[in-house]
Amino acid sequence: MKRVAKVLAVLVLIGLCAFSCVIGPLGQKQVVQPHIQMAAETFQVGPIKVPNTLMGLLLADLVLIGLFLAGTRHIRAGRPEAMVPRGLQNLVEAIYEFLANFLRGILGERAEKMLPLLITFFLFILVANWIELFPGFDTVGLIEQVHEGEGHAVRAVGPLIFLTHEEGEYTLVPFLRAANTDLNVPLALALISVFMTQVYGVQALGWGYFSRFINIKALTSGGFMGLMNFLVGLLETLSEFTKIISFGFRLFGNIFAGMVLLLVISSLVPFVAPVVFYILELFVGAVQALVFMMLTAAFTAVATAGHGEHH
Amino acid sequence: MEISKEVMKLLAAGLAIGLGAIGPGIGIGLVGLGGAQATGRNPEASGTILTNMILAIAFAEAVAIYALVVALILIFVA
Repeated sequence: MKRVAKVLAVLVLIGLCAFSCVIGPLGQKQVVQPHIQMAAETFQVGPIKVPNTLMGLLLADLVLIGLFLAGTRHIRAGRPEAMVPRGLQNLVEAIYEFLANFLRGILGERAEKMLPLLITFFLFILVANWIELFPGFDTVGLIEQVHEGEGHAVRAVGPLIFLTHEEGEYTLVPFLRAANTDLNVPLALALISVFMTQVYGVQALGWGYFSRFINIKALTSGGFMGLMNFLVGLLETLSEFTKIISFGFRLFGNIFAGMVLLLVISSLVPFVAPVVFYILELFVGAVQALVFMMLTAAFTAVATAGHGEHH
Repeated sequence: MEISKEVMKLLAAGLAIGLGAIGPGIGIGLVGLGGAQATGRNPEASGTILTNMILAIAFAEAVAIYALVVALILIFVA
């Protein structure tokens, strides 16, 4: 039985390869060069323009919300079987507990209040990154006329239309694209992260938190060191703004570069080779989600620590 | 190909990110070296080491991100 399944799997693989040899590059010697654009492509839906990254974002939200609603349904209904988690609930609880314990290690007893935000950051970025690896992202869409730059000619195969490598005036506008390949999404997350760091800082230290940035006490206490401390405060202020840039562009850069890498490799070597890079992107997506969460946690830990209790 | 403004822009963007990635690359490598050595010497502390390692990597990586921003500005804005 196992042997039959194996043979079947190999046959299906060969069949898919043969199929895409005929349909994919349309039997042409060259493969279509990917069209790479930094801004999200948009669709006109009624009076508004809908970017395809928004579709990717909503899909990621749907997956995440669906997973956790289904996983917590026994708890929310107050059923007794929720006490002994099974199946999906087990998975969801394991994910939550792992992340929560991890963050408690960094933040100590202050962690509880920040857990929802930090874990949401992690899960949202993780799902938004990984969803890009599903077939259909960046590859299925409408063929539209190009406004600027170079395009391709098209050829119809049955009801489907494919781009050819010849010069023309058409390009592919994919329906779905990963949310984090649109700079707006990482920047929004970065703004939330930095803003909430300030909020947690004020909650922990009161308004005295802002003496970190404008240290009047140090200035009036006089002396050279007082002046230096005041200037260090100004540097801290600057570093809050550079944090927004580095948070936003780190996530955007990694995921956008991943998308470009996958597109280029898929156009150079359509078979087998992209698998390696898909594994790499799986890793990069998880690392970026982890880094975003951990950096927010670490900056919050710094912001909520008073002047005396640096460790 | 004549050397037009477009060509110079692309060249500058390539150089910006290419040269800008050298330093952070070395830096992140050193952080990884330190992290691996520390974990080898004291495996129980691997959790704390990982946290500090990722924090240090983020600061080193920020420099590469500035280079990336410059390259993107050169290509898309300038």
